[in-house]
Amino acid sequence: MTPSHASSRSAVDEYFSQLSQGLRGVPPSEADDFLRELRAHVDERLHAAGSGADPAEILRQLGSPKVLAASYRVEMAASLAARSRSPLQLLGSLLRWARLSAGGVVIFGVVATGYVIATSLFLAALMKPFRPGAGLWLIDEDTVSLRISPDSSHPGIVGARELLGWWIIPIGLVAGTAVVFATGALGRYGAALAGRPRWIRRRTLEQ
Amino acid sequence: MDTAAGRDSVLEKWAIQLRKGSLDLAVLASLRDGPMYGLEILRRLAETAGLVVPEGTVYPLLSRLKSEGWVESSWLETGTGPARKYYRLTPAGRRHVAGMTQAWGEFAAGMERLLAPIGTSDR
Repeated sequence: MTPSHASSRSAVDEYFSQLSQGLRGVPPSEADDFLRELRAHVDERLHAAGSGADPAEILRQLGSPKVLAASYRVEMAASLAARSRSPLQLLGSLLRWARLSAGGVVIFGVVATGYVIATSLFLAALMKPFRPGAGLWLIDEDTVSLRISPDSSHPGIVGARELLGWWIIPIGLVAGTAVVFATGALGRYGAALAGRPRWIRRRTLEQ
Repeated sequence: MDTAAGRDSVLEKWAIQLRKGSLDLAVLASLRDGPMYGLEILRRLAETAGLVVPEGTVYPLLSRLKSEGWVESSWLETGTGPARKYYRLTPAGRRHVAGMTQAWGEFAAGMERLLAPIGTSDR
């Protein structure tokens, strides 16, 4: 192998190691398939150009590995959201998808709201032992307030009645967990429905 | 910004958006005659349609078209070179292209009628 060939090898390897890094979080079998496909593209290009091959130019035409990985995540946003396991993964994919479509905006809004509610329930339950004012309070006839971290010198609210007392701990944890699961399921379902158009746009287009 | 260069770059951006919007159809349509792999699709787009797109854009797009169920893919050994990932239209994909082609035809004909007088009077 000539020195220029050796350095070209490493340029290609460097490109693919960056692309692989950019695809972290994508299910491994899909990321590997995508990497293999692009590797085949570069190899065929190099092969076609023969000894005068300029790997740098071939890689340049493919675009930067960062942009390519980002573009994969954007194109696959709905599909990745539909199969995401963690709330962060789901939110990330939905946010990318929200930039492309109105459906994505709606589902992202619903899911983000769900996670905010779940987080509040967890926090209220966890803060209760330290801040007795934390919990679910009935402020007046039609205002219920979930307090997370009230001023410790003023544990109660004047004229307000606490609804759950210490029960906020088990109920908050259970309800929070339920909301997390329900939100995740709803987000994934929405993404799957909108991301697979053949399910919903079944028109007779055969000519 | 109203310089020749400024106008050119605005026009260029607009043309890029236009190409992006029609790339789904272009890629699906190029698969109508049979299975093809990425590089082959890129060549077909450039040679037949004069569509030169940044090479990297077509691969993520193909991944999405697959996840949407319009195409399916399989790896084929070539013997000499690296294996190739071939894409082929699914029956749903074939119906989709037919519908897109019809919509495109109607849209293009309408735009043509709208733009035709401009070509003669506004130059």
